[in-house]
Amino acid sequence: MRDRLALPLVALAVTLAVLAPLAAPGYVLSYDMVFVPRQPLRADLIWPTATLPRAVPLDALVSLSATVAPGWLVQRIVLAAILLLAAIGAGRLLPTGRLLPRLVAAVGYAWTPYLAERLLIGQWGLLLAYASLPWLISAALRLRDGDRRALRGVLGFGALAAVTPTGGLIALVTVLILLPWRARPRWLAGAAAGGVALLNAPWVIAGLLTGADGRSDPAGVAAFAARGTDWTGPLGALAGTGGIWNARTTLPSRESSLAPFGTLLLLALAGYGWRLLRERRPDLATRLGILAGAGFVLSALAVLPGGTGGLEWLVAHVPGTGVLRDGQKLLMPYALLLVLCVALGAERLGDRGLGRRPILIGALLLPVVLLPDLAGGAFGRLRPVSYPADFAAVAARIDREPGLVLSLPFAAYRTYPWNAGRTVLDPLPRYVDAEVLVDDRLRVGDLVVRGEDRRAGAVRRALATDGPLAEPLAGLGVRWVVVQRVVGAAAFPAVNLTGFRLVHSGADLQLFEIGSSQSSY
Amino acid sequence: MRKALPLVLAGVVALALGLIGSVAVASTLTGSSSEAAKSVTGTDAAPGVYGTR
Repeated sequence: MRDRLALPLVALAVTLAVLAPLAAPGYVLSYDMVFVPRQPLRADLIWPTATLPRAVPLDALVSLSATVAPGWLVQRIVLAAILLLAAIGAGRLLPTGRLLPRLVAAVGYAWTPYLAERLLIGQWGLLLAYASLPWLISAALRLRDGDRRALRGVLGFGALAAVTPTGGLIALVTVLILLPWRARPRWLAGAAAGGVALLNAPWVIAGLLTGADGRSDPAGVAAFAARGTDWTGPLGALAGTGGIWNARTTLPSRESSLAPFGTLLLLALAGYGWRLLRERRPDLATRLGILAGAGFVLSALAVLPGGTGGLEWLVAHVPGTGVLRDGQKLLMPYALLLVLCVALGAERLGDRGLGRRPILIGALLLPVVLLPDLAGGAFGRLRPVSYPADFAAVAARIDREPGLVLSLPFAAYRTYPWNAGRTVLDPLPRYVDAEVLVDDRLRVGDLVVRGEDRRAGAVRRALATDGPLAEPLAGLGVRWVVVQRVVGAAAFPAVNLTGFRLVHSGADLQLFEIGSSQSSY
Repeated sequence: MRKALPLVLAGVVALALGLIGSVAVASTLTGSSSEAAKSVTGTDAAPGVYGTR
């Protein structure tokens, strides 16, 4: 009984430790993580026609969930599920009969730099794939062992992983490598692989039908390449499962000059545990090893000699390969293999007569010691905030007479004074029940990575003229313009809105409607 | 001596971990304040910046 409860209880403790600030009311708005009170079920969110389907079917699922639960609750459920699933999944996957090594794997997988960095950058859809991975592998292994009921597990966790294109691809490659292709009945492996391939169909079809250019700006390869955080460079950061491109989402403890010694300790333990994994579950060791190796190479591709050029050519010429430019996200199988081997390494070390319990407890605490600043929502960086009342007022006004909305300043990401200075994707497209035009270019420092929405290009050209915007925007079908107050700009950025009527003027948002001769400001 | 070896090793490991952890926490504290300062004055303060390398 104690052993059965220990794993979920430890997973719960880790979840509470990481997500503690979410006990407060409001929404965590951090980079790509945007939740709103009720996300509308709108065609352009479900099936984007002007941009690449990066959030298909994720946005559709969030919109559907809004019909039964408010956004703040969905956000908490999803984030808690990620941590719980990751910890319990890794603990259960570990081939051992002992409890403590399972707990080592559980804490290790739910407390990685990878999870911390992707959590801070708000890619919770990708983290659902991270959390599903041990369960998916476990189900595939049970299929290998002849348990046909495991097909449901493969498809279920495959579906959870496939809420984003990257997660779906990782799930598909994982099952292709792990499935028992030679075992009977033959249809079983085919059904599992075909099922997971079908789960990728929404974003594949949306990608084929979109009017956006499927090729990406090669500048994105350098902008989103793995980043070194200490003297070991990007490869050292990747070896410790970190190395995300954005310095702002790297925890300070990863930038300590001693962090590489922690990574070295983990690698040494993992190397020591590799033999146990191969002895106990050779099929898992070999296949997960292949997955992890391939993921690591792809993660490092942009920083390897010759890799940048090849990747730049690929994303510029082959539609859809832009998914490879932020390669560090493909590190998740490596993170899982590292954690499993560390747990087995600690178990083996304990069995050598060096004191099983102290070694395993040390290994259990090791990830927390190496990354203490993930606790408490990365020391408060995941603190929820409330939307200013202006958002509800503007959304209600647009709701009454829906039309195309332009969000200004014309940029994809915002740094709001009311969001503790944190950067976040413009929430307006998800807050109002109308299509919203935003700039889809990505600015990384001084570098600008081109987007693919052709209408956004037309808006940029209109804004560049400094002339009245009413005519060119009306030509694009824009009815409403929302001007937002952001950090680093004037109270409201100056735009020539002659010909627009001021409909709502708040401290944080101003709403203009096209078709009036009044000059606003 | 042989019996005491596990305890000695566990102590060494614990000390090493404690040292790494303390330095990590210390760097976290200095890192946090500089991060907070950057959030309003750095490149990221410019509207629309996704992040910095």
